[in-house]
Amino acid sequence: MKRADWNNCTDEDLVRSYLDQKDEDIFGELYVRYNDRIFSYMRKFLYYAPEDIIEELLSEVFIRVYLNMAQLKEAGSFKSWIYHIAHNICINYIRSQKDTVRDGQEILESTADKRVDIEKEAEENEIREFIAEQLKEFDDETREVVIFKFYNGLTYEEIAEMTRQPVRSLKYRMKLALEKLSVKLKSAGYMNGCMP
Amino acid sequence: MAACREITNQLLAYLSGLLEEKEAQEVGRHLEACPACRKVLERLKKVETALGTEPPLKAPYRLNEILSRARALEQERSAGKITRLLFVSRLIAGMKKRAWMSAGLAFSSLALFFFLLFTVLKPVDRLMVLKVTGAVRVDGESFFNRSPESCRLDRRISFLIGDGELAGQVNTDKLMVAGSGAEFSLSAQEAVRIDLKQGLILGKAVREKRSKVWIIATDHAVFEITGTLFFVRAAPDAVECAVESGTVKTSSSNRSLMIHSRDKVRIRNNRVEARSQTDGEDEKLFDKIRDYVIRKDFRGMKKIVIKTKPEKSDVFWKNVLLGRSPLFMLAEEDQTSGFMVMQKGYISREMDLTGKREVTVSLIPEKPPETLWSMRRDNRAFYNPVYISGYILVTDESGWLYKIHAKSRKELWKFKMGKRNDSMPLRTGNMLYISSNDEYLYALDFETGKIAWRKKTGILVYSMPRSSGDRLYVCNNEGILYCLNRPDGGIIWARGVDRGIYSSPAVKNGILYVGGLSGSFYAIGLEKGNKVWEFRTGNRIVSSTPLIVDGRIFFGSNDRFFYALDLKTGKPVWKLDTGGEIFTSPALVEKRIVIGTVRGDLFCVEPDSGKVAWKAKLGEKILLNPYLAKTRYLYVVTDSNIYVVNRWGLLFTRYAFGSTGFAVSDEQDVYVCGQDGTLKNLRFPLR
Repeated sequence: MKRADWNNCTDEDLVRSYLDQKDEDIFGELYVRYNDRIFSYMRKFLYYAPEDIIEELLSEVFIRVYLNMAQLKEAGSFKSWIYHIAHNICINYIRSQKDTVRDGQEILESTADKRVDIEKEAEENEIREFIAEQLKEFDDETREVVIFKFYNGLTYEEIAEMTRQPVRSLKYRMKLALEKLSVKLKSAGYMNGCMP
Repeated sequence: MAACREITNQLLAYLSGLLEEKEAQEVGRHLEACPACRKVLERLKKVETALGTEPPLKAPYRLNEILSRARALEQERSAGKITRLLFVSRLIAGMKKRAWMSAGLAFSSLALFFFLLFTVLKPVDRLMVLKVTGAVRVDGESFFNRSPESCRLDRRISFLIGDGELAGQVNTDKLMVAGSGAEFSLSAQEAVRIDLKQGLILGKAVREKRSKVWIIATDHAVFEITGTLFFVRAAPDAVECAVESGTVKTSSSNRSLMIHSRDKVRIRNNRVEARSQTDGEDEKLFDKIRDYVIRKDFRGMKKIVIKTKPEKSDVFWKNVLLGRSPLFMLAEEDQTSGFMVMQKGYISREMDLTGKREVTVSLIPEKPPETLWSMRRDNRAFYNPVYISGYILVTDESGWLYKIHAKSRKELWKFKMGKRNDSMPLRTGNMLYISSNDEYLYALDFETGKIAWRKKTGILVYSMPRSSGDRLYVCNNEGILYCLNRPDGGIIWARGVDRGIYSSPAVKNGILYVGGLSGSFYAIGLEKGNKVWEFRTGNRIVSSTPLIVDGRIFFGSNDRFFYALDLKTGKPVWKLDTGGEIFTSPALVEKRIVIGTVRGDLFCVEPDSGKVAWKAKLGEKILLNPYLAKTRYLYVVTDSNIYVVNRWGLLFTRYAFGSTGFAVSDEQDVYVCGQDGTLKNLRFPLR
C-alpha cells in the first residue's frame, strides 16, 4: 500500500496492511489519526493528572497498540479497541491514585462555585469551557461517558464495548448527566430570556 | 407553567435521544404548546453542537520515542520474557516520583509490591537504559562532566547523581535487569542516588526525613524494610542489616518479620538466619555482621575508627556502603586504602588510612573556588602562566613578558619580546631562559628582567630549554637541537635530530631524551649530540615531556600508547593502550604515573607493571599537563573546566571555567588564564 492511499483507508485496512508488511510508517499513520483524540479523552477524563503523566499514559496506549496489534484481527474495530486500551490505562491510573484523587476533588469543590458568565449569546468556547468545568464534578464513570459521547463522538455501542458496561446503563448515566448539566446551565443564567 | 422547569431539564436528553418513548412524546407535546421551551431547545442545540464540534486537543508528537520503546519491548517478548505485567509496573514507576511525595503509604506499598513482583520474576542478565542527569559514575569510571542522556548499564554500575534527576524513571524491573543490582534513593528533594553492588540490589527510598523504606534485593529474593536502617550489607546470597524498628518482608514468602528496636538480622536465601534483640545480648550479631564485611574486604588489616562530621554520613569503601559514621574499619598496614563519605549536599573526603588507628573525616560542602584576584593588562590576553617560587611569569598576546608577585599581583618587571612564547621558560639560578615565537631564545635576569643575551634558534619553538652545567639545550620546531653556551648564548653545536620537535626534553646523567614528530624517541649525548639510542612509536610525539623514574623513562605518543622504556637501552618495558592520543606530559602521583588523553581519560598507572591503578573519564580533551599539587590533589584543566581530582581518581571538585593555561603554587593557589584573557588567582576549598 502506498502512502498516498492511506487517507482513503479505514483504520482496519491500515491495521491489516500493517500486520502484513510490518511497515512502521503505517503505524505512524494510525498514531497521527488517534494521538490527538486519545490525548483529548485522557486530558479531559483525568483532568487532575499532571501533564507529564498524561503524556506518559498516552505513550503507554500506543506502545500497547504496537505490541498487541496482532490480537486485533478477531477484536473488531480498531477505534473501539484503541479507546478500550486508553480506558483501561486511565482506570489503572485512577486506581493507583485513589488517595490523590480525593485531593483533586477538594480543589474542585472550590471551583464549582465559580460562575461562568454565559448570559445572552454565549460563544461556543464559553459553553465548552463551562461544560468542561462542570464535567469535573461528575464521577469518573459519568465523566467518561460524556467525554466519549460528546467530544470523541463515539456511539453508545462503542462505549459499551470499551468500558464493558451495558448500553442501557450508559444511556441512563448520560441522561442523568444531561439533566444535571441543564440545571447547571440554567443556574448559570444560560437560559435567561427564554424561560417562561 | 410548572411543567416547564422539568421539561427544560430533560431537553438535553431529549436532543440526544435518550428519553424513553413516553417521556419523549410528553416533551414533544409540551414543546408544541410552549414557545418559551422551544427557545430553550434552540439554545441547547447550540450546546450540543458546541460540544460535538469541539476540535480535539493537540497532543505531543512522540512517535519515535514510542516506536523505540515498543520495539525494545517486542524484542523482550519475542525472547520469551514477560511483558504483559510490565506495563502496570511502568505505570506505577511513572508515578512513583509523585507518589513518594504525595500519596500515602498505601500507594507506595502498592508500588513496592510491584517492585517485589518484578524483581523476582525478571531474568537477570539484560541491559538497561536509564536517562540520567548529573554526575555519573559508571563501573568505577567517573563521568564527572557528562550528563549522558542515556546510560547503558550492563554489569556493575553506580550512579552518583548530585542534584540531577533520574529522568527515565527508576524502573525497578529494569534495575534487576542490570544483572546485579542497585541502590537507589528518592529523597523528599528528589535527589537520586543509585549505587549498584555486585550481585545484588540495594535500594532505599526515603520518603521523609524519618520514614524510610529500604528495598534490598539479592539474586534470589527481595526484602523490603520499613524503619530506620542503620546498617546494611548485602552479598550475592545474603542480606544483613540492623534495623532500629520496623518490618522486614521477603518477597517469596510474603511473610513479614517484625523487627523490634535495634534488632539485627541476617537473611540468606529468603530465610532469616540469625536474629537478635539488642536489649542485652545485643551487639554480638551486629559484630558478626560487621565481621562478615570486614573478613571479606579487609582481611589482615588494622582496625581503625572512622568518625565523620556531620554524624551519620554514609561511608563507602570502593563504592561499597560500609555503614554509617561512626564506623569501625580496618586499614591495611602497608597499603593505601581510601574511603569515601557521602552526604547530601556534601562531597567526600578521602583519607589515607595506612597505619592509623583513628581518622576523623570532615565533609566539606561543594563550592566554587574563591577568586583572590583577577587582572588584565591593556586589553591584551594573557597566556601561559608559570609559577616560579612565589612569582608568576606570564606573557600577553603582543609579546610582553611579565613577572608578577603571586600574592599581591604586583608587577615587578615586564619585558618586550618580538612575539609571545608558547614554550615553558626555564629558570636556572638567577637566569631565565625563554623561547619566544619571534625565533629568539632570550636570557633574562630573573630579578630585574634585564636581557643578558638573545639567540636565534629557529622559526618556532614550543620546546622548553634545558640546562646542564654551563650548557643550554633547546630544540626547535624544525627538529634541530642546539647546544648553547649558557653565559653568552654562543652555539657550541647544533644537530638535526628529527623533522620536528614540539615536546620538551628531559635530561639525566649526561643524556637528553626527547620525542620527535616522526614518532621516534631519542636519547642524545649532551657532549657531542650523538644518538645513544632511538625508539620508534606509531605516530607523532607532540608535546609529551618524558618523565624519568627509577631508571625508566615514560612518555605518551599520538599512536595512543603510553610507553615505559629502559633508560639505558631504550628497550620497551611495557606499553599501555590508552585509546586516545596523548598530548600531555605524565605527572608523578604518589609513586604512580598519571596521564591524560585527548579522549578525556585520566589514567593512573603503576610504573613497574603498567597496570592501571585507576581511570577517570572527564570526557573532555586533556591538552594541558595534569599537575599534582603539594596537597596531593591533582589539577586537571580542560578547555571548559578545572578538575581537582584526588589520588584515587575521584573527583574532589569541579569548577566550570574556560582556560587556556594554568599554574599551581605551593600554597595550592591556582593561576589560570581565562579564555577572556584575564589572569585569575583561584583557591579551591580543599580543607
